[in-house]
Amino acid sequence: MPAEQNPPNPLEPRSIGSVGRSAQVTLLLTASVGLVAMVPCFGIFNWLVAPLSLVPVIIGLVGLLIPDSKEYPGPLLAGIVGGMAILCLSLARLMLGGGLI
Amino acid sequence: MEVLAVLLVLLSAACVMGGLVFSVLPGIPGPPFSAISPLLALFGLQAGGFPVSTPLWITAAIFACLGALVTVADLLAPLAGKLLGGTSRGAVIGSYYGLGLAMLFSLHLGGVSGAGSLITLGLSLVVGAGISVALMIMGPLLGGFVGELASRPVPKKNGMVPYGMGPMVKHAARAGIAQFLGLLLTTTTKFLYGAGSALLCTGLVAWALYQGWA
Repeated sequence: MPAEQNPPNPLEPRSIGSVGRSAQVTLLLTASVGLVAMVPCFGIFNWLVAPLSLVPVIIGLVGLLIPDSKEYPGPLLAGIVGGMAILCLSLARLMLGGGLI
Repeated sequence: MEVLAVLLVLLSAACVMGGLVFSVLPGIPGPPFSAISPLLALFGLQAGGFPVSTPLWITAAIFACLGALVTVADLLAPLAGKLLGGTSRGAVIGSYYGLGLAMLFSLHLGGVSGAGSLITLGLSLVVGAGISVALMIMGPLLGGFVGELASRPVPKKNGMVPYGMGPMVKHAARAGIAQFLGLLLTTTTKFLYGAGSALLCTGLVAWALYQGWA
């Protein structure tokens, strides 16, 4: 007998909530500042980018861990994945530039 | 008159460089620069008193028309991605962010590994190049994935909303791959067109100089 599948839930919220919007905006801001900080000789900005990239990660984690949340989880997951990627890049860039250049 | 000729040929060379650079960098389209560079070179040669025959003008004009087609195709590429792969604007923006971050990081990595190769006898250069290539692939791919994930919910299927992380991640991964392949295709086409423009400019100038001196 085939395993019974859950029917799609039409009541599942499709809109992005306030927590998701916060993760979206902070991720975009971090990526924009990160882009500037990657320019040669602007490496010192990575001291700002590294802690800033933790903000979408924390918002995403908090949003995902809220029980019975009706939030659409896409932007929260994007905040975690994107924030971690930018954090890794900025730390590597800090090491390459000696924290200054 | 000769000053004008030199200026036009130099402007043509600058356009060739601009076409090659902006074919990779997002923001400014590169093909228009590549398209006008052979025409500028021919105008410069004509201003300098070199004989420029009609077939050369026709070749440059055909190349410019081809450039217009490449530009239109480049502008329509995101729309095609939207229609074919179901990617959103967020995926497009995300992949450009990913590409920009990867490119700028690779630029710095290239400098550091180049300097380090003096000590490591070229080994760091090979490692740096490998990391750069991996980053250039992973950047737009991950950027498209994150952008699609962040931008909008999974589209409805049979009037119902699929729920859970599985369909969401699957949809975003598909959009990220589609966006990456689209970006790869358009960037390669633009870069090849720019390289063709550089070759054509060199050939046209060499041919006109040969005709003038022969």
